[in-house]
Amino acid sequence: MGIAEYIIYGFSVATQPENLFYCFVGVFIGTLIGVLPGIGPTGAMSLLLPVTFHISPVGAIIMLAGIYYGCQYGGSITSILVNIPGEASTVITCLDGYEMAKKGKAGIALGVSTIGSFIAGTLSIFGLMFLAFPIAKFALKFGPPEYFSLVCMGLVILTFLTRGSMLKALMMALIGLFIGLIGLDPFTARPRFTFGFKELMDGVGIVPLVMGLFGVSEILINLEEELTREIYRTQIAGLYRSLKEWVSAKWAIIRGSIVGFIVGILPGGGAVLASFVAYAVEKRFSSTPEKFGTGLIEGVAAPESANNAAAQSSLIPLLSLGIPSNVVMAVLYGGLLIHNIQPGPLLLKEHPDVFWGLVMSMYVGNIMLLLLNLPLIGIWVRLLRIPYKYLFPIVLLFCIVGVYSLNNSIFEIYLMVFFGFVGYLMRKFGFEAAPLVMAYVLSPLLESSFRQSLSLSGGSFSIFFSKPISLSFMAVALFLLLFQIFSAIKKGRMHKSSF
Amino acid sequence: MKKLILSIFLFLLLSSFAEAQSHFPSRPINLWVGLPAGGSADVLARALAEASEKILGQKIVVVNKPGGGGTVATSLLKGEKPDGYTLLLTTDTAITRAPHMMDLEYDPFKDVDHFMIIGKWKTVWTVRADSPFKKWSDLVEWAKKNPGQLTFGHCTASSFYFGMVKISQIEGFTFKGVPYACDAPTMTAVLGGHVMVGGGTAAPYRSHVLANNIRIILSDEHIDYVKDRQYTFKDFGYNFEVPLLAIILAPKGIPESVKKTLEKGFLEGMKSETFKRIAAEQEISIVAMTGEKVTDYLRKVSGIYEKLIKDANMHKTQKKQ
Repeated sequence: MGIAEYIIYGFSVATQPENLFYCFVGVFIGTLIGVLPGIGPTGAMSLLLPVTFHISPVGAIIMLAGIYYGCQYGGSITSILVNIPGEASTVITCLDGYEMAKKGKAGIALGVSTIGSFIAGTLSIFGLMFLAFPIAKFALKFGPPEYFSLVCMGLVILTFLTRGSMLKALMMALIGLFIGLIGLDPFTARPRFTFGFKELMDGVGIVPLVMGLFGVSEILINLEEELTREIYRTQIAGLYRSLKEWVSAKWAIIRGSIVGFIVGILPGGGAVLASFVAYAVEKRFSSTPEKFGTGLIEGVAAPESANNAAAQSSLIPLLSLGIPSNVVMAVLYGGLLIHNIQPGPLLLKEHPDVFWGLVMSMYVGNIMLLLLNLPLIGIWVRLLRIPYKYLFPIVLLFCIVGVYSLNNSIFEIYLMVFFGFVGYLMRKFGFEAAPLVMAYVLSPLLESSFRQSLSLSGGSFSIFFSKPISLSFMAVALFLLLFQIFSAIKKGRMHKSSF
Repeated sequence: MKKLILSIFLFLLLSSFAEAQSHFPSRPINLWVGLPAGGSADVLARALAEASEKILGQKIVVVNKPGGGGTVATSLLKGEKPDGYTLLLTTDTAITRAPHMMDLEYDPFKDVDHFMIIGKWKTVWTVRADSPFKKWSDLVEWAKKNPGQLTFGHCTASSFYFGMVKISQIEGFTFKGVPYACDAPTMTAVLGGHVMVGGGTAAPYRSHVLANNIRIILSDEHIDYVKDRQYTFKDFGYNFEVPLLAIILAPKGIPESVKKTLEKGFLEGMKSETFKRIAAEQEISIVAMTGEKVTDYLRKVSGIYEKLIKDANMHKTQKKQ
């Protein structure tokens, strides 16, 4: 069979009434848990695992995957409306999305997030169809030294995320790196920096961290202000004006999709990292980088496209190599195994219905999500009319339920509240949370790849410079760093206060 | 308001009364899993719950309490009521290995009941298809000639690592251990040629072995999916155990009658087709050990690991590693 026949075959599998139904159930649940802060796809998917014992393997996998990418659509809603990330992968959307909402452009922001997700999803599916197997082979070349160099490059990119003082951003990044080190030592399995809390043995979870830094701190800040404060005027702009704004974000959407697709393939990558990198890249490409963080549409379009592209491309290592690159993929892997389907090099040969059915169902699912989400925008925007004194207790309640549901641990609620106060103080003193979160995400990878590399090389640092892929990342990192320092000095001459 | 409080109080009183009278189980049972959702242990627990709840006549709710390889859940279990409504499925890490490596809030042999051993993961040593190590003996020979040069990818402080330590002691070679975050990353390292040999559980490798990308050169027991001649511990006279077990723990002091009911429910459940199929897919040998034997066996395994952990310089009392 040629590729066209496979696509038609996949389409016929995906449009069977039964599979259409499971696809809808999946994306619908996904949208819901995306909207609810804290409640993530992992919990919902594992709860549904036993349900899939009784349905066909294709239906099961279509539904589980639908939850994951459905989540990427819903996650941005609370980020934009109330500055509380619905998912870890929509943290960065808060920066510009919430500012847009403050300016009365919540509808446009939600629209560009949905449309961006749809375009990114579509592009990503094409990538998945044609490139899954060759790309997966290339990704295998990434060993410990390559990862270390890649993370180094990532840390340099991180400096692009900053809005204000570079010095403060670097301080935050160091704290982020430190928080990432908390937990069991990856080599000796000894507890490290846990201060006797057994719950910290697996480290600080990303959800309590971001919900605290972004969500709870936002609530605390709002508590200070008068509760009668004016509700953002949310006129729903005319379709023509919205369209014009959306079209202006087209390159941001495409760049975000490409970045997201690539980052999603890398093991350990996934939607969270993709959204950060896409934002940084967009800022670099922009002619007005200083306007990022003040409600720029590109600042919403790029990360929102990237997280959906990554959610779908992270299926590549799972399906073609049998390697789950993040926790969500691990649950999906479990779901496939239950049906005696082993993801890996033989999947295409043994279960073409699963592979092509899934890929084409994602296309159908993306269209469903577009149709489901666009009409809902008006309703979501109306949420802003709810007076703050009623809205925030409800949001806080969802945060608490969401964080608890992750690991069924009360400790994580305390942790979220703790980071809420930390985030509050950070805002008061003008420190940004974004560099902290990104450094935290990279930290475990940085440490383990560094130590693994050195165990492989017997302690010699040459391992990072003797491999071509690793060497090129190092060179790019160095170039970006020098460029950054150079431009900082130049800017510093013009107005001394910027560094 | 008063009426409401009174009625809640009455309801609570009545329901606790009812529970005391009716036989076990009269409400859903919580089966904790000490490891994250989606992992092999989690899937096994969900299959067991599915199969056993029909026999016990009550829902079994699977709740993931991950952290520290199951040690967090075990600490929490210590504080639970021993009424049979809270159980923990986890690996033997929390009982036989972790206590030698770190200070914990529980005594593995005093503070919890060792209720059951339900299975054992099959362990494999793998190389990429183009590896010069055609057989296990090739690897041993090369490692002896090139002391400390053999790179071995494994899950941190796992049974696979201590198994390799034991083998290297028997054969008289040294190797470089490279810890990865367990099965998937280790497999990536083997496939990408980042390490010479990898160790882990058998299930994730199935597809790559059948596609001739990876070869299994040693396993602790027979692996059904391997079509070629295979070599197990027996072939090399490795008469030791380094098992990775799926066990069920309970708070100390569950009533004997409750224990019997649960035991019967789980053992019946383990005979179901669904459970057997899922265990086979995960390459887990069903063990089904209950009663006194469980503690005795775990004590023996703990002794084996204690020695290996000391030999590997990973024991908690030693300051330097």
